[in-house]
Amino acid sequence: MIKFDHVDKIYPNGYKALDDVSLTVNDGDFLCIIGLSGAGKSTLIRTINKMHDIQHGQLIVNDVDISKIKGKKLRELRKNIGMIFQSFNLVKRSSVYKNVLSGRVGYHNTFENLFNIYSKKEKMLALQSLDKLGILDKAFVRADQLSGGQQQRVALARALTQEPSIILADEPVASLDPVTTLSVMDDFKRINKDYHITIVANMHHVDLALKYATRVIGIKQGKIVFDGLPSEVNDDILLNIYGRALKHSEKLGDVDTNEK
Amino acid sequence: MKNNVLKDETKSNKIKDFFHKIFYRNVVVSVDEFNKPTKIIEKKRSKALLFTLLILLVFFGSFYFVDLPNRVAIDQFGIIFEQMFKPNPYSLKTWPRYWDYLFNSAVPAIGQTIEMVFIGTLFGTILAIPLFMLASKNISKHSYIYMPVRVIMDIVRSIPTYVLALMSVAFFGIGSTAGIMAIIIFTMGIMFKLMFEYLDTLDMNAFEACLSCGASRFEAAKISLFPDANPMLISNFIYTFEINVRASVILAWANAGGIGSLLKTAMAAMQYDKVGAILIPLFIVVFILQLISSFLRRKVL
Amino acid sequence: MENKRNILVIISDFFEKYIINPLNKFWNIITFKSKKTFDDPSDAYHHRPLYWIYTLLLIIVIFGCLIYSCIDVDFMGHISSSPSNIKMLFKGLAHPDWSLFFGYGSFNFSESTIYQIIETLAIAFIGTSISSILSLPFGFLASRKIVGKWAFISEFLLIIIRTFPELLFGLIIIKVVGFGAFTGVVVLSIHSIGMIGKMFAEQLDVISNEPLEALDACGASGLVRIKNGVIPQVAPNFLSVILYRFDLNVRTASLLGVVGAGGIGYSLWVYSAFNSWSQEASMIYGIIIMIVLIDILSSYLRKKLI
Repeated sequence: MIKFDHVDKIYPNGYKALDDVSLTVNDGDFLCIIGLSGAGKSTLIRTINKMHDIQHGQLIVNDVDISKIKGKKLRELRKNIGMIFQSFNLVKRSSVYKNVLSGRVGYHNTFENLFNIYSKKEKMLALQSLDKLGILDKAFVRADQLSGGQQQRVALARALTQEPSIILADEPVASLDPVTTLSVMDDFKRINKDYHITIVANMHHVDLALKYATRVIGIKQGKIVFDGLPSEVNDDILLNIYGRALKHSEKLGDVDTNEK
Repeated sequence: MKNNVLKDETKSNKIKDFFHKIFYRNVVVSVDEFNKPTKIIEKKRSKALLFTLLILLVFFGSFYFVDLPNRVAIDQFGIIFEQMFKPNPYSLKTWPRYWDYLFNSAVPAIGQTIEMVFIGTLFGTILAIPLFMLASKNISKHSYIYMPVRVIMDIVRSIPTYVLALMSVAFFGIGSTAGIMAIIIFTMGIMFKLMFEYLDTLDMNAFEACLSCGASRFEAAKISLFPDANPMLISNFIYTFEINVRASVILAWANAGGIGSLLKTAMAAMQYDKVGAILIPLFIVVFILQLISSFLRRKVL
Repeated sequence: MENKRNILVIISDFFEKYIINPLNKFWNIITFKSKKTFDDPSDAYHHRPLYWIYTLLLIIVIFGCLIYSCIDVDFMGHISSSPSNIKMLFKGLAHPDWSLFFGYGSFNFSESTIYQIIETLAIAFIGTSISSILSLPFGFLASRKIVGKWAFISEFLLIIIRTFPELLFGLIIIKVVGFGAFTGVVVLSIHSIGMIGKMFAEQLDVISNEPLEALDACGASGLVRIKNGVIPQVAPNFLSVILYRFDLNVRTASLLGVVGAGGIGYSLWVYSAFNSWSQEASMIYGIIIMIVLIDILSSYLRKKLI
């Protein structure tokens, strides 16, 4: 469970990215955050695993108040939270298998990490998560030889190998083509349902968010302006979030029907 | 009081005008039918002339410290070269002894120098690894960690090999040990500079991902940066190795061992054929190292 | 007969299971010829390439070289330093002779560290200037873009110049020119050609073709082409190369004095030979200050140029 309680985030240059955010994310939710660029979507996600510090308020993740913890306790928390990035963030020169195994880094001490000492169970876990995403055959290929969609699946497999309770996704499909986007989003949905992992994702594409999410958050200038079910989102709400209504051509869902 | 202030202003304006005239010139852009300028703009004067004059001044001024020799014995050049690659009647005498000296004295001595350089470069590189990790802006985040390391290593890097050798001879005594110590510190300086500058240019995305998996900064650097940095480290190792082989010649003048000690005695006794016999294998070794190092650098970069 | 066959089968089974298969597996692993597709995770697990074998081999080779080197290096000529020697070293380093540094009291200004630093800088400056002019033809001749396939002649010459250790070069030049600062100038002017020429050629190889084509269209040829099409493009980079080499030449010039080629190195050698560490320290500190300042100046100017 993630609980924001009147959280403020102010950047060193004085820019207020989060303004009095209060929010509770229940276990098993598929939460999508929508909003304009610079509205604070990314900041909201990155405060959850303390990649960014918060200035005021309280943020409780898995019953731990994260505003106070640091060092070893922070790493303990982070190992239970997977994170997916827009640019995949893989070690390009290493093999896929090594990349996925690096998800286990939080479970080992420095010595074991230095000499790559992992148990057989963990190695199997890494390969199993690759199998779940259908890219087992690519396990021993160098990461930079894969396509964008495959790389994002590797990143997802790395997050799964962490055996997390929460997966944070920071614009997971922004650098993928429309068709790959849908299949990656399907993977997210499957993980959310089958393994009961909470997913918090931010999205550029409203229709994708409405299609996959179980709950949608609209954010504007650091404030939450909408919080509810995807079916409750209508043109007035989008007008409020984006400042104008979305044109039909800006929706991604069309591609799906066109391709089929 | 008011008057005084006014005076100062006019004075400073005059100085300003003076410099303004030096650095700017008026350029006539257009003229009317009577050849009178209608539009004048100010243009910055090119500083190239000023710099050229300055460089010429320094160049000729420098000759105050450098005495030109009365006589340059160019013919000596040919004589020495002839003596170097032919056995002399007063030292090695015959060709068999020349080859014998080359293969049984010069080559083993060069071999030992290379071994010294290898030990020194290897340990220097290993010791430099934690230092350049600390000095990298990306890995160690806080300026109060990386700035002091950078300043200290900049000073260490500026100490010439010969001075390092002198000090380590005074500390460890005469012989190869002191030479190896000098090479270790010298290598640390070069390797440090080359590697931390490379680390600062690396893509930090994967590093961030490792942090989000719960890795410490050191572990994240090991997992995400070293696959990128390792080829560079190996290429820099060969490069530093090559520099060190050439620099190790001077160690002998500080009594710190190396191939220079043979050269030094041969030079002092004017036995140029011995110098030539040492030079041939040394030249070949450095040449090969240079080829390997430039090949590796081209491949990595 | 039955028994014999059984034994053969057992032997061949044993052979296959414990020798052929592991060898095959090992060979597949180190040649990365593992399977391309896998049935399930455990299949993939059994066919994973063992990267650590490479690491292990590399470490074994390096350690082998290291141990061989440690045994073979001649430590026999070693004469240990005495505690009093070490004490003198640190005492000297803690109390540098400031009268020698600034040249007052019992020392002339021409003996002082400052004078010798200026002399060293003068040698490096003249040497770098002359060699950068001499490098121009070498650089142009070693550029594939300008002279085509014949560049290798100049390239080869440049490699040979670079390979020669500068100290040895100094030793030979001394016999020709005699002791003194001018020897240092000659050594630097010739030795620096190797590096400056190479870097000039590298800069010339990456120039853009468009200005040259424009000049060709105007009917320009030969030197006009170089003057108007090439030099404006490469001048800042050339200056930056020269500045970088000046930085390195200051370091070299401070050592050449050891063999008698002028500069601060001679004093370094003399004072160390007499174990007078406080005079030596003032020279060492002088060199460090000089090199650090030149380093900062050269990198600042290079940043401004590009």
